[in-house]
Amino acid sequence: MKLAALFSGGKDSTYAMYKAQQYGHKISVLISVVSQNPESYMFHTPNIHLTELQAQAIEIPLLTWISKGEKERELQDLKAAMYTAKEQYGIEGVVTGAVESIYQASRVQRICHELDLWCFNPLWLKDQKKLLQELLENKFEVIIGGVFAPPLDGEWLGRKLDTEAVKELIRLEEEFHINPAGEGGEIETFVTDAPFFRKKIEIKKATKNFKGKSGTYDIEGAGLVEK
Amino acid sequence: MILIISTCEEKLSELEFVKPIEDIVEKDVEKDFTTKHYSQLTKSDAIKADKLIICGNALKDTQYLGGIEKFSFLKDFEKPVLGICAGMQIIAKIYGSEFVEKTEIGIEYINISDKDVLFDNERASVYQFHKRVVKPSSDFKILAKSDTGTVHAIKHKTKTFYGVLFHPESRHKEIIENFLKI
Repeated sequence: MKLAALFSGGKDSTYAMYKAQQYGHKISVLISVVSQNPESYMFHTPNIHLTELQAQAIEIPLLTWISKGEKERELQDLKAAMYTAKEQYGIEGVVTGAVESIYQASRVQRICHELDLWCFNPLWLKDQKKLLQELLENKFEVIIGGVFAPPLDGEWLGRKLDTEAVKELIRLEEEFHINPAGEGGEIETFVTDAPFFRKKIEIKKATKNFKGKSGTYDIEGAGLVEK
Repeated sequence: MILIISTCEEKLSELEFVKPIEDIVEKDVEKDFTTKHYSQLTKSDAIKADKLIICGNALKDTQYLGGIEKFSFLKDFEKPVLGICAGMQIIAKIYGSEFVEKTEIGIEYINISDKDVLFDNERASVYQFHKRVVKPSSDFKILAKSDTGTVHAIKHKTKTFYGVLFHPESRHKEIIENFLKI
């Protein structure tokens, strides 16, 4: 089936897309909704502007939709993007990286229903520790692009999610009840390489911005390199 | 042994509608399980199992509607069965219930008139998404309805067959755990 991937550039949407490919589906287009509202419930992600570079690395076209991020209006923006994907690329469904958020998942389900599209959520209710381990096993290269809950501090910004970091996140879960994969919004991630990337992303310049209890790793320069 | 039955047309949907059920059953150390797609199902598979769980599927899934006769063994089956969403529709249809086209998506409140063994509370917010609802035949007792009047949980009057239209694997896992305790 030809699918569009709802793509934020983070680990969940990238891994969901990988799963869809493994099950024989073709990702024809990526859809990124860029919200101008930093408080957006649906779409806010640091480094969302780099989905264009990721799309080049994957070699799949990207549809970027700018949304003002007004609460229900941004859903209309997502619907417009999905409608365009259907018209231009003939997609029959979408794949999302939703894990636990019924708020997000039910809204995407509704839009899919309105546009007569299949909706796939292959990570739905997936065990978070297992998700992190599978990312490692499948050689995904992921960095932390944002932290939004103590005791995660500025030291985590830009850190690669390797075996050691995953172990530490699991320990923090036990001690502080932090969701180790960040599904509660504790962590945002950015994927620099995955098995289906034709090229990988090299970060050339970035700034850590940590204030109070949260921070972002703002990538200011990045390019593609051969794998 | 618990037999988990997939009703998904697309294999990818099983990660969303079958895997979470397997994870819940797997946590119960005394229970082992096996999973089968309904198209491969035989009566002897069901007879070997202690309980059956018939899973839901994607909103756009319609293939199972053409395969409901695969479940006709339920007419003379006596062990506990739990049907979720499409699974509830299948159980209801085998016993002469009707479907009514009605699309509902999102969180909904249900009022539980009979907790039976499944429910812990008299009111619950549940996650629903379906395109058709069940008008149960006289073989069933209604256990729960939503504020909009949709029948959300039924039980067969003489068998331990349960159907829930919402998705307890997403919200209210205890309903599946309660079923496993029967």
